[in-house]
Amino acid sequence: MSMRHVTISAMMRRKRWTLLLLFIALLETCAAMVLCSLTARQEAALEKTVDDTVISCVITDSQGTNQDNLHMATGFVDLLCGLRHERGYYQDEHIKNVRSKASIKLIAPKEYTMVCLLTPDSDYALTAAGGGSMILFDGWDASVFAGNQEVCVIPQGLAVDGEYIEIDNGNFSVSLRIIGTHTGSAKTLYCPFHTMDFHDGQSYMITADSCSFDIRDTRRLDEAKASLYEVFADLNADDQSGIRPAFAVRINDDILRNTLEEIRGNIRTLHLLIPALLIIEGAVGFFAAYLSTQSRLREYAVMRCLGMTRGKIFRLTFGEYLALAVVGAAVGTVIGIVINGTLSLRMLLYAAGAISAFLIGTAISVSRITRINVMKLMKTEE
Amino acid sequence: MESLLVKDITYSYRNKYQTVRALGGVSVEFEPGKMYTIVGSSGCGKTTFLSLLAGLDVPESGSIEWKGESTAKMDRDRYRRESASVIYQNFNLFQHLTVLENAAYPLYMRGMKKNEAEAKAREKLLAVGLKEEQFDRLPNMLSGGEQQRVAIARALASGSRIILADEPTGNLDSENGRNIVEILKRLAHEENCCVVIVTHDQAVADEADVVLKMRDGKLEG
Repeated sequence: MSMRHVTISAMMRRKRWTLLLLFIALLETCAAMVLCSLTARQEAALEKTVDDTVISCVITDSQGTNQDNLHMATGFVDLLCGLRHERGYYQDEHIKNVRSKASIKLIAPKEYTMVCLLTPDSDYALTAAGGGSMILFDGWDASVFAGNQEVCVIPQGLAVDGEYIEIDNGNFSVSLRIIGTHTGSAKTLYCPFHTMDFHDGQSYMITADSCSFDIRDTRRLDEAKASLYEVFADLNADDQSGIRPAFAVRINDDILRNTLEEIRGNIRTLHLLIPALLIIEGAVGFFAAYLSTQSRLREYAVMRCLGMTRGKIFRLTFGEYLALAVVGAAVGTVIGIVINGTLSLRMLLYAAGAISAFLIGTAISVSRITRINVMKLMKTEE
Repeated sequence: MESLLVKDITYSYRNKYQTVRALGGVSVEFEPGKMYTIVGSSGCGKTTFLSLLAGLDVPESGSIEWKGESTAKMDRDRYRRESASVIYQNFNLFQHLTVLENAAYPLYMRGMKKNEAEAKAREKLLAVGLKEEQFDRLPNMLSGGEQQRVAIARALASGSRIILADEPTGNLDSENGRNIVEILKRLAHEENCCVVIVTHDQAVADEADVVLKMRDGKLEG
């Protein structure tokens, strides 16, 4: 106890070395915590990018063109919407927000086109004019397009008597309830996608002009791709031989992949810096302790002359560095929390790793002084 | 018998290129209650001999025995802690400890309680002529003579029966040197210590009970 007391007293009086070693321990702790924080931020950015990025997909023809003029059987849209589970198509588990559009020329109203939509934003012309350009009457909302009701939205300037409008394309005629108006193309009626498919027990085949959707879970992108490529061609596939599906899917994940690659590269670099930092911190600990003990060689020689064992000298000297490292690390941790604005178990582990490296360096250095040749040293010094 | 017995010891310094014989067959018996001086020219082996007496190393051949046990076989750290103390020309005090802490250091090392250790050290410091008001000072605030007194007090506090001094007056003026020699002489005669002094100073040698001359690693006469 008295030995510890006298050692602490001596440490307090050796201000220069004590402060220097404290500062080094503090700096090493802070550096490790900052490195940890940078890594955590990059990892969070990676997560956020994955979570926030919407990967849109577009159906094209097998050559990757004609995405607005597909003439694609609506059965494909149905399977994307999850209406073909009984046939083994579960692509809807990997996608969401399916948008599709089909156009039918009408003879009544004359020169009008009926556009069937899955959602209002299936029509780029309509959404380009602004989402607010479609005004639905009270009691109706956009979800009506996902259903199979015989309703339609007419251009704002079209004069109609009553709540219904008669339409005819030469093959069929039907009366649709008017549920709103729009300010888009003046000669267009908008109605739900499936209206004409199931009207009054009749089945009238229509084809989709365009179809797009988003990936449901970006984390499962590869699974989603594999699922979609069971039905649609992969435009990026190297092997173009064999029977290709009639339609292909373009998955717009280039930006995501590039961003992820960049962030992952940063994380890899930061991970490489961890062992480098530990080695540097160990080396700094070694040299700091080397210089400190070198300036005290005579002191150690006197200790040996007084009969102190090598082990006791090691414990005493290493104990000094341990105490300084603990105090420096504690202060460094507080500063690290202030700098980074957060504290995590991982940051504490990084700080502990840094201080351990520092202490290993000092221990190696301190072990040297236990091997000093007192006789030679005393003789040389005189 | 409580004497320091040296039997035909030899010692050499070796490095990669050469071997230098420092001591070549030294035999002598140091008895308690006497002050011995070893004189001789520089490089004759005096300091090496003293270091071996202090148990800092062991002879190549021959033996040094204390209380019938060879230093080569005993726990030499314990021997230095309890039986043999060395006083050097440049005092070798801990510069970051106070006078009192320096004197009490051997007692701290033994695990003695702080108060007890410092009470004993205080007694020894007063015995060598230091004043109370100097006890809390750092060594560099004392004169050379005073620092050497602290070194002697430290040796006394450890309770050593063998006091080995290497040029203890080398850095002191003649008056301080005389005082230090007086203290060492008193230790031998009144405290029954075995005091061995290595010196160039004839005045110191003249005060000794036994003067040993060393030449080329051997004792003469």
